[in-house]
Amino acid sequence: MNRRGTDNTLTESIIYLLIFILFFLLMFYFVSANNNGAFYWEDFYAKELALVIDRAEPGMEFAIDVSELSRVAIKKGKNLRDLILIDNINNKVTVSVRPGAGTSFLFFNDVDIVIEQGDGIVLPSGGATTTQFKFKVKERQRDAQV
Amino acid sequence: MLRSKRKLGLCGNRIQLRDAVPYVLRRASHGNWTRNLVQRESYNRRGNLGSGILYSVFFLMMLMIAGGIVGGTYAFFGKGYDFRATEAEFLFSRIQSCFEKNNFFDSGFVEQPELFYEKCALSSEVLEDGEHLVYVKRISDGKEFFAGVYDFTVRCGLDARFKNKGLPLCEPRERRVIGGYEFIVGSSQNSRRTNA
Repeated sequence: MNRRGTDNTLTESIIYLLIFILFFLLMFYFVSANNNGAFYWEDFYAKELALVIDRAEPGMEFAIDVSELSRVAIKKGKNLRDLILIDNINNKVTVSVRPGAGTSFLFFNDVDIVIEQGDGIVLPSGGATTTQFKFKVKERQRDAQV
Repeated sequence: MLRSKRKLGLCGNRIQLRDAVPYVLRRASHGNWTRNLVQRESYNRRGNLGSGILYSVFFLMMLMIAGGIVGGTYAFFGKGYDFRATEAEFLFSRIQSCFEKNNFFDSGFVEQPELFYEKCALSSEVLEDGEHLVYVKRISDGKEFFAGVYDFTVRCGLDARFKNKGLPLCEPRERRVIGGYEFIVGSSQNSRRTNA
C-alpha cells in the first residue's frame, strides 16, 4: 500500500493530458489552415502574380480575377483591402486570406507595380464572386512601395 | 540493544541482505534498532517499467493519428504548387533574349554585373537571394559569367532535385551548348509564410 502518496500518478496524467491537448491543438490548426484551401490559394496566387509581373513590360495594365481568393478571405474574416500586397522595394508579392498571416513570393523583373484604384481590389458586380485585382506596370523608380 | 538486534536477526552484522532487499539500520527514539528499506527504482516493484512502455504506445497512437491527418490532407490538397521549373524556364528565356540583344561578354557584363542587371531589367536583390543562378560560359575561351549561387551548377544535376523542393530546377534541363555558349539558369525559390 502506498500510504504516503509517493506515487506521482497525478503529475504524469496532467503531463500526458497537456501533451495530448497540445497535439490536438496543432492538428486542429493544421487542418483548419488547410480548410477552404487557404494555404493552397495563397501559394497559387502569390506565384501566379509573380509570374505575371515577371512576364510584364512597362506600360502594361492587368485585371486579374481573384474571386477564389476573396471567397476564402471572406470566410476567414479577412479584410479584402489587405488581400494582395506588392512591395516594390523587395520585389515581393504577398497574398493573405488569413488574418495576421500570408504567403509571399519574389519576382525578378525590375519594374514597379502601381495600383491606381485604392488597394487594387475591384468588385465589378458589387459582390465577391467577381473580384479583380488591377495594377499597372511601370519603369523602375527606386524606393517606392505600394 | 543486543536483544533488539537479535530479534531482527542481525547478530554480528550491521547490514544484512535478506530476500535480496537492501536496508539500513536506524536507531529509533526508544533505543531499539529498526530496519529501513532502501528504495531502489531498479527493483521495479511498482510496475514503473510497464507504465513507461504503455506511454510509448500512447505516443505511437498519436503519431499514427497525426500521420493519418497529414496524409489525408496532402492526399486531398496535393503537394503544393511547385513553381521552380516554371520560374527557371521563364528566367532562361529572358536571359537568352537579353543575351542576344546585348552581347554578354563584349559588353562588360562579366566585369560589371550591375550593367547586366540594368540591361536585362532584372532585380539584383532577387537573383542574389541565394535561390537563383544565372550562369553563362563561352565555350571558345572558357570565359564565365554568373550571378547567384554558383553551386547550383552542381545541384541542378542531382537526382533528388525533383522531390526535394530545397534543390533547384534548372533550364535547360540537361547541360548543352547553344550557339557556342553554355547556359544554366536555375531557381529553388519557394513561397514563404509571412505576417500580413
